[in-house]
Amino acid sequence: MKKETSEFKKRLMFLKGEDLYYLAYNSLVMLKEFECDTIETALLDYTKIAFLLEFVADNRLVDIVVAGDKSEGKHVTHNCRRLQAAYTQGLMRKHIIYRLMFALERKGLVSLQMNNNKGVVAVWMNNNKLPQGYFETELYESEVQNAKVIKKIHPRIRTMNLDTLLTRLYTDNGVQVWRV
Amino acid sequence: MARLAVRKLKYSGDLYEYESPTLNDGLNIIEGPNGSGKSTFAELIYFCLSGNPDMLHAEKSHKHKEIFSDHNNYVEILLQIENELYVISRFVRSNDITIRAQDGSMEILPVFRSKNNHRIFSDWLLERISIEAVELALGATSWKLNIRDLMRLQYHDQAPNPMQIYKEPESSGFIEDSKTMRKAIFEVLLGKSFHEYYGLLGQLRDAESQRSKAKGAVELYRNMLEEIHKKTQDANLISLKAELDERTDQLNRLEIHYNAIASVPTMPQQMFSKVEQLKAEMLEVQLTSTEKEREESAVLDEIEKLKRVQTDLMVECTQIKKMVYTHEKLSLFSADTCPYCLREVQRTRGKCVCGSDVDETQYERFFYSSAEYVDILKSKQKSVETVEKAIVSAETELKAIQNSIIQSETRANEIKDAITKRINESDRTVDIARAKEVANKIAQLRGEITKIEQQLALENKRQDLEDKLQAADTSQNTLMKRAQKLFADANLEMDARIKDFNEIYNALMKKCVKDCRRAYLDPDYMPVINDGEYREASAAVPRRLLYFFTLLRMSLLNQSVKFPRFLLVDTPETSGIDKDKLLKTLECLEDIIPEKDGNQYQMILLTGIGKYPEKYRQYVRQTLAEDSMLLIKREEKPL
Repeated sequence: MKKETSEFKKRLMFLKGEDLYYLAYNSLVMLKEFECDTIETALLDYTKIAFLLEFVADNRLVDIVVAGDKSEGKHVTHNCRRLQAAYTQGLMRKHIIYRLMFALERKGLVSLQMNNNKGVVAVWMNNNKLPQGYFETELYESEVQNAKVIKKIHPRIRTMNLDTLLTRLYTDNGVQVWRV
Repeated sequence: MARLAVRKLKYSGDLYEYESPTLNDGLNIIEGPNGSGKSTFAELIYFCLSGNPDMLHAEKSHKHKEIFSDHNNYVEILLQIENELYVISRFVRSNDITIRAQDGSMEILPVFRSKNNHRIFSDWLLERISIEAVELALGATSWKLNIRDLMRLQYHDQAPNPMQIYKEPESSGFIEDSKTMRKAIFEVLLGKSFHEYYGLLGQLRDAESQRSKAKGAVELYRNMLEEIHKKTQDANLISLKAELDERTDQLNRLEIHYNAIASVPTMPQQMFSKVEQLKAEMLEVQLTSTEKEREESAVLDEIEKLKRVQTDLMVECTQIKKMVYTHEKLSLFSADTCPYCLREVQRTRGKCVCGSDVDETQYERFFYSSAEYVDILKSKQKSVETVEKAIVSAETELKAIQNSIIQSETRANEIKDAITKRINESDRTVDIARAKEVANKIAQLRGEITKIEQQLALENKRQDLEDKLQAADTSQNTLMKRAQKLFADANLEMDARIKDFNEIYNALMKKCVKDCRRAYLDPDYMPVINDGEYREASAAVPRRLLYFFTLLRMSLLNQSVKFPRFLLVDTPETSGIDKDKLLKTLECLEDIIPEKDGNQYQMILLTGIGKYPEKYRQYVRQTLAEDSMLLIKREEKPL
């Protein structure tokens, strides 16, 4: 009975949004789609992952941003709230992403490097360390698509400044962002 | 019995005065030479009796010089009418006469008739002597008999042409001087019936005028009716009334009929309550329907939420699957990974990663194993199913609600139809077309009735006017018959009178006029001597004077002769008559006075000195002096 109870409790306590594996696969998909597999093609400022993660995971947010992109200034309240929620979540994830990156680095799946010019930490994936056929699955279909769209609307996603990215993603869509 | 007598004559003014001696009944002689004022005497009397002699007329050339130089002057006579004495006075230059009776009462009456003067002196005097001031019809005008007219046969004035017999009228107007007038005067003075006849003629004239008016009104009205009705036939009252009654009946019947078909029948009570019932049900149905719609909306919301939850759950499931995949593929973390640095830890059982003692059974780790993930996934999938069930049940519920809404709608429509049907049913009993038809007929009838009523009114009026005309006709006819009878009577009477007159006149004339074989009156009451052949001028005097005498005699003999027994004779002689003849004529006076009650008359004779039969000397009341006049100049009274 006790075991069941603890199992029950654990089940209840499950928060997918804070699960490391959730964060891990979304990040890996993102890095793959952004083609960040060498130091040259590294994603500048890993914290971007924190903010982009929700977009990759949720196609509805991507739709908002896409619509926002096209509609040029039309800000729908409902969507704004979602964006805002996404932004807040991004802020809170920064630290976890930070630890995740280190974990992944220890495992050898990614590489991190301090970019002194920009003052940020760049990250790139080590493709050869990933198990064979990791990405060859239909499971990541939607994430892949979302990442592709984001890449499309922000071509310079890898090198883009975080502030610029945030502005583009949020401010331009009517959500106020604040520097942390 | 009409008596007039002048007892005294008086003149008084600032400069002159005169007072006559008392004049008695019978003959009174005032003698004087020519120009001594004899005519003045006569004219003054005539003046007081509302005459207007030239002598006393302000605008005439022959006016009396002295009188008109005088001021505040008046003439006064003491007049006896029957047995009453009156003081009659009239100011010179005045046309009003003052009458003072014995009892002290006074009346002022005008001489002339006018718009404002309806009662004049003549009317008063004629009343007193019982002669009616009859209205004589003279052509288009009428003339009310006046004392001045009668005086033409009483005042034997100094006429230039005694052949006229009558004293000249004051104005030689057409009316006053007409033959009709003269004849009328004669007839009124002599006859009784003529007097009445003339009175009746006035009434007859009025009746005639009434009749004319009535006839005129009737004709006018008839013409007007013709115009209105364009019928030449007069509908008579009875047929109109019959038509009216018939139509009224018809109208009444139709109205009853109309009421029968056109009245909206009040719904019988049960039908009424049934409709009420239906309406109540309708209301309920509508309320339920609204309620259901609200439920429907709520359920729809719920379903939507459930679907969203489901979607989320499903997405979560796939995400967990992804996590499991990653976990299996990459084995990044395990139950014994340090949550802080994320390094793999070699943990001892019963001890936490930090080294503290723990109950293994109660030791909850940070990371999930694949099995745990699968567990979670299963539970999530179960949730999905649960939600699916919820959705299904909600959808079932929704369906039920929607069905019940449709049912309500259907029921509502049914009720609506039922109500409408019931209402239509009750309407159907009114036949609109027929009702309209009857209504039109009624309106038409009403119109006809109104027309007939109008016609009736007009006919009644016409009848009325015709009745009036008939009445006027009748009264005119009656009067006419009476007038005719009176005329006939009067004529008969007149014939008798003329006979008497002729007898008396003839006798007198034969006595006084040489070669007079026969004297009589012609149809115009003018004397004819010897069938008109007699030419001697000197006969003119007796011809005239004896005419007056005859009238007097007839009055004395016959009570019904209206001739007032008063003669005023002024200088009967004219050139051409010699004294003897004159005296002889004057002597005839004795012949005309009846023996007993002889003095029931008065004659005032003004003549030349001694120009009368000697035996009459006793009757001389005054002798006027030569070279003096009647009026005596007042002595200047010392101040």
